[in-house]
Amino acid sequence: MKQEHHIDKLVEETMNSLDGLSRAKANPFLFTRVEARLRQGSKSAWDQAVAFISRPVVALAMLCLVILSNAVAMWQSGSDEVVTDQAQLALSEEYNMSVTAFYQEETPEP
Amino acid sequence: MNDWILINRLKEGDQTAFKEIVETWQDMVYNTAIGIVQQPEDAEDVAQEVFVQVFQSIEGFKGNSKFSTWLYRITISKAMDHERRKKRKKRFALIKSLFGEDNDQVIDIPDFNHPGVLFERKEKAAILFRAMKELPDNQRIAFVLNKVEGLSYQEICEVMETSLSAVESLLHRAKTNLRKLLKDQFKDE
Repeated sequence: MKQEHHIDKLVEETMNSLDGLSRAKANPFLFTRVEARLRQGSKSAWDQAVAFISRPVVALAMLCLVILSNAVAMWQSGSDEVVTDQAQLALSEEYNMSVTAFYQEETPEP
Repeated sequence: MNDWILINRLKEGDQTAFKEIVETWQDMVYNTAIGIVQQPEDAEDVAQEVFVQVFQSIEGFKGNSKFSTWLYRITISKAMDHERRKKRKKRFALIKSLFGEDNDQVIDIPDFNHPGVLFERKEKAAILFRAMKELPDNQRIAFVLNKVEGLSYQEICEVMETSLSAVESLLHRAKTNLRKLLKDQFKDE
């Protein structure tokens, strides 16, 4: 009981420890430092862009966008019509993919 | 009235007016900042950021509130941003140390001694400041404005843009939480 009373007293003394507090004084050269900061000027556009991109929210949003665009692309390619044999043939002829062995191409004509 | 003359001069680009503004309000800004960030170097940094912001956005000050109220709002916003950045850095350093990437220890900052506290109360004030760090942001801001800056409940309402009953409730909860935190701490000792 006595211990409890002692703790309560300590708590109240601590709670009242800021009574009569006077203001902390700022550095007398604060204005010079503020001026120096202002003279440094604003950040370049490149710095601002880097700072913006490196923000966790932006990075996470970009990651989600990439994943989402991949998912959409995969979903769309899955639903595309099956490429017909004729179309495949035309494509392989166009790109000369019908050659099965490279020596056939290089064999000189008699 | 005097404030308005200074503000208008600054809006017209008068550099000496800006110097007068800094010199007039620097202690108020610094004292509020130090009450929140609890480190002299950090508080100086915050004070510099506040005045840079004042210089850059003075055109946006329309006089709907007192200039000091506007300054308090900027100071609180900058100080809380500073606190969040510090917490993020601390968390990141802790994760890095867990993965052994960085052998630097996460340094615990020693207790803060406010320079304006009476000598015989310094020890207890340091304990109170440590406990204040545990308070939710709004309670902590209201408590600092009331106890460190000596603002009345009405002035706190204006700074925090809230009602009188909300401020009364915030301060009541802040004091209850602090008493509980202190009691637990003294019991453990």
